[in-house]
Amino acid sequence: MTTSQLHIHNLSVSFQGQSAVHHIDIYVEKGKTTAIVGESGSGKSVTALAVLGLLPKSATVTGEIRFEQDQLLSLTEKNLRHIRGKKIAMIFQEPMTSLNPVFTIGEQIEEVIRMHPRKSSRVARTKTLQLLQEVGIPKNRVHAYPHEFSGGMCQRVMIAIALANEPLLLIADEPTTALDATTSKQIIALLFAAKQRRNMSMLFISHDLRVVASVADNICVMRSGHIVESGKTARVLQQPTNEYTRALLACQPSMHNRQKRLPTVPMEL
Amino acid sequence: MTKAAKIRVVCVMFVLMYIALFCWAIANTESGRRFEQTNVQAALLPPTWWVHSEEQITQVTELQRVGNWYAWFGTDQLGRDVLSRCVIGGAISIGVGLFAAFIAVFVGTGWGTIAGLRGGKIDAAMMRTVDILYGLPSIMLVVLITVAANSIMNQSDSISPLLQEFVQVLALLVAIGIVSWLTVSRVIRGQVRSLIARPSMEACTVIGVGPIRTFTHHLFPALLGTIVVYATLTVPTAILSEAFLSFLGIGIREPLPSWGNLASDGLSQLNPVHSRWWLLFWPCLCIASTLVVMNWLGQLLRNKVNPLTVINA
Repeated sequence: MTTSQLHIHNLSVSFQGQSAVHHIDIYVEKGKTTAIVGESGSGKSVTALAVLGLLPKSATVTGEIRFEQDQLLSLTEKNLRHIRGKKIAMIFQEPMTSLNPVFTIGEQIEEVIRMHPRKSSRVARTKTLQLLQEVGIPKNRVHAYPHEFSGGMCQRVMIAIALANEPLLLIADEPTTALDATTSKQIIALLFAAKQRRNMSMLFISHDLRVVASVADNICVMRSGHIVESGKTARVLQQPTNEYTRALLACQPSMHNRQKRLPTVPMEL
Repeated sequence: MTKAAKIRVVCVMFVLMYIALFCWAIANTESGRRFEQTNVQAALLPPTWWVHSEEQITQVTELQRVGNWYAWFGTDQLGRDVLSRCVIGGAISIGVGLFAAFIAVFVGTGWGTIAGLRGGKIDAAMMRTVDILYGLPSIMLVVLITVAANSIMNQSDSISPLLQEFVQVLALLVAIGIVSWLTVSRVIRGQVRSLIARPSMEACTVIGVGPIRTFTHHLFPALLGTIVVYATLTVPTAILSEAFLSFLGIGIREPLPSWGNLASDGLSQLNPVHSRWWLLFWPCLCIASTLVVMNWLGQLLRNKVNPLTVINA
């Protein structure tokens, strides 16, 4: 248990009495990737937002989230701010709208570098160029605005921003959903190369089992706020014990057998 | 030279020329400041380059024999030079317009931003206040405020005439300012609400930016385009309401000139017997050209602050 970087224990989130996440436990081991998979509305993103304390005030959160020595749920907003962007970084689904349209990408990367702790602009500038190189954006595009970039390039910028302060944990909330298949593949490769180089831990949220299979060490399958199955990736994908996981795996499109109807599992309420 | 540089040079030259004219118009002559200098011999003369009647020719010859006399824009019924009055009137009108717009944009932006950021009950209360103020006739309010300020002025006799002039102008611009912030606050509130819902604002929280810095460094720059546009739209409106009020006789009053009361004077001199067009034409031309330039300037500024158009420049 000492190797776990992030330990979500007995976490429940509800909105005005409606339960969104129900007593879940998730571990992210140091330097490893834990993936949360599930259909939309299963509580994946809510879990990720709860880790960073980004849920709206109307949400009731109980349980505990331990990151290193800190209990994230009991931290004040001010202390939480020192962790956000510095120790835990996050990548969103929508790269195009997550960047501020009125600043150049260079300015936006520099800002994160200079936030934690304050650094001179020259140091920040050098670091920005390094990061751009790492994520594969030519140096001369540093003064470009987000609207001049494609979705894939924006996501590269988002990754650069996330990596800027060498975080210990990276939360990727469906980072490839808004991208096409080819770009998605490149982004995933980029993300994991960066992760390996830094020995970061990662909480990877996706509904794409193919992506998850290639990158995750552990998988948690979520459905309607519950974790229906969790374990090592190979075990979960090859010998799923839960009916829902089996159905989810059977929904994968295949070249060989065309299915007329996708398998479904009735929800027990 | 690029187009932008040319525009800049023209603007700077124009401003310098105006400053020179202003200094000339406000300069002291043997009988007071030039724009107030009356001369019965020179009353109601057309611009010197314009056609003169025989009577007027003798008048002008006499004037030019005495001193170096020339009236580019003609003279009014007291023999005051219309050019110098238009220049001083312009300074007052544009000054009132700019400051009133500044007050309106400042108050409106503050009000709208607070309402937009806080949301909920505070937002509702603040916006209902705006709705109520919207319901009141704004010209009525301006009239009340200026009249109140002037009556307070009249009660105290110890105030110097220069300060009286100043307070008169101040009351007018504050009055115009506090009735025209309503639209700005509505627009800014809407803009703030839509901006804070964007993922990029949530991204600020994610990277550990505090609420104050989020506002000053992320929200405000995005708002700037809207603010600039509204500021440049408010300036002409304020100039126009100043002109309107002075035209009615409640704004800037004689002997202080403004484009509004100059035009009003001119109109009273316009009759089928004598067309003393120069008294009406010049102030109106000044107002019209200023409004056009202001709108054009607004467009220029908007393009400058909008990243979508910056790269094409």
